[in-house]
Amino acid sequence: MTLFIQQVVNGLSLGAIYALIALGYTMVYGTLQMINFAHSEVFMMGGFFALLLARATGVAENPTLAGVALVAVATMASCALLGAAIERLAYRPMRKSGRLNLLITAIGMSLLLQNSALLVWGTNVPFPDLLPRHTWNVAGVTLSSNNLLVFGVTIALMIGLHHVVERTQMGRAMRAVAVSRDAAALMGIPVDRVIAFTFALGSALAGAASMLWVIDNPRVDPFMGTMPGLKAFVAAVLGGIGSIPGAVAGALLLGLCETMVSGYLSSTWRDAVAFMLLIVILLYRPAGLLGKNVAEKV
Amino acid sequence: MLLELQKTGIRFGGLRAVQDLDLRVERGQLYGLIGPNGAGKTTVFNLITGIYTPTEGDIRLGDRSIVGIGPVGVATAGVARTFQNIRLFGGLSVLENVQVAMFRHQSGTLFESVLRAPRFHREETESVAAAHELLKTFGLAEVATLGAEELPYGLRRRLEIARALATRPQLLLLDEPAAGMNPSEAHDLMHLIRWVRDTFHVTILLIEHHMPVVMGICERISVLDHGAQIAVGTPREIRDNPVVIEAYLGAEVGA
Repeated sequence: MTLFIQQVVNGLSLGAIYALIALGYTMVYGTLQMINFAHSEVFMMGGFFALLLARATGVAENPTLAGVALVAVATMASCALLGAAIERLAYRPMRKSGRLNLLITAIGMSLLLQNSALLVWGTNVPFPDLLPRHTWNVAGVTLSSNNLLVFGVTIALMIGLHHVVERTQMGRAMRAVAVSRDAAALMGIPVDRVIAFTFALGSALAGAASMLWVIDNPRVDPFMGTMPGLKAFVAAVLGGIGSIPGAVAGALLLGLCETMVSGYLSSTWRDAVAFMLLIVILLYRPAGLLGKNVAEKV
Repeated sequence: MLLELQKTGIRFGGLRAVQDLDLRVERGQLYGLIGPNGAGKTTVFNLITGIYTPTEGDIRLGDRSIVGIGPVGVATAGVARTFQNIRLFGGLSVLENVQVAMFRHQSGTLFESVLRAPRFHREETESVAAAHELLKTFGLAEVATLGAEELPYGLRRRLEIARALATRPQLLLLDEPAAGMNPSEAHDLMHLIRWVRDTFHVTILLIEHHMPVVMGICERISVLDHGAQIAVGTPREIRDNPVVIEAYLGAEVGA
């Protein structure tokens, strides 16, 4: 039972980070019906932004709580700018040329970012210890300060996101564009701005995810985005791509699955199980857990 | 003169969907566009609203050309429309459908809205109040919190008109507003359209198949056939025009 609860804690912690990344995939898919494969590289770049910002502000040498929070916010802002820039420079000019071309552009953008990072920073760069690590033992279950940080930050960001999507005019516009881009444009909603905003919002969440990630795994690498990015994509599809609660549910489920497999079977199986789960869900619920089956418009 | 199409036309490959169309809609007018199926009526709407760019001629709103400024640009210039097959924002509530159409009239930045700054608060409260007001005049106040897709057909048509008006247009384009309605519903709609024109001081251009509706409320009518205008005039002139009777109205005139 202790092992089970321990794996629940670990699973939710991992799932929360997947959720932050998965939201970017699902929101962009919702507005553009496109899989933004460069999203995992926005997550990766977030790691490097955090490193550069921590060094530039001196937080790397003298970490204070306020300093780390500042670096985190600046990392999110940098990722938001990067995401919006990718959309503006690479995707918008391609938007009229069909989905396959957009997909290929996204893969190209992903490779460009990976190799640029490789060229500039190299691999396996150590990340400074920013926060002291505490662990508590609650009835045999180990709870670390990082777990609490991940839970706290993720919950706060979800509440913030919910507020933006449900209660602001921009959030309403995002949902309207997701339903019908043409109808939204004809109602005077500035579709281009809404799409750019969607990219920025998703990328900011990916920036928060990478900040949480590097605090727990203190190294940054041009290829660090690949696996978490892929898992988050699986989570988004699992939950029903395009659905915001679906992405969160899928991510938590995936995180739990992985840690359960590592705990009870073997950690070598965990990736295989994650992708098997995807295949099973797609076979029996092609629209995902919370996705709606939408008839293709003809 | 509010809307003027000058020798407007569009080709899709070899097909001339609309050709040489001259249309002049006066400010405040209720103008009807009729014609058999496939005559190019909805194409005219798509040309005006910037979905299509004309391959010939010009389209002017007020004193400027609106060709090439795109759907968002045309909407911002003050043109709103409804659709033949209703296209509400499903997943958004009735109220939100109206609120979101007020987007271009709100100046608060997202930053302010996230921080719940005073200006955001005021604008949000104002937009909710304005949207409620609009829903009330359309008899939709009781269903404001329902999902738009939950509404019965007739109310969805009304909501589409309310949403279009929320953009505060100068020109309102209605694409077959009476489609799917029985004669009594169509009759109510006729009054609603005239009332909308008088209350909101908009100019209305409408496509319609229900002849009683068109003849009953339009002050001027253009008849399209095979993408070309075959007649223009008052309802009486159209009714008595042999070319129109020949091409389109046929036996329906006497009915």
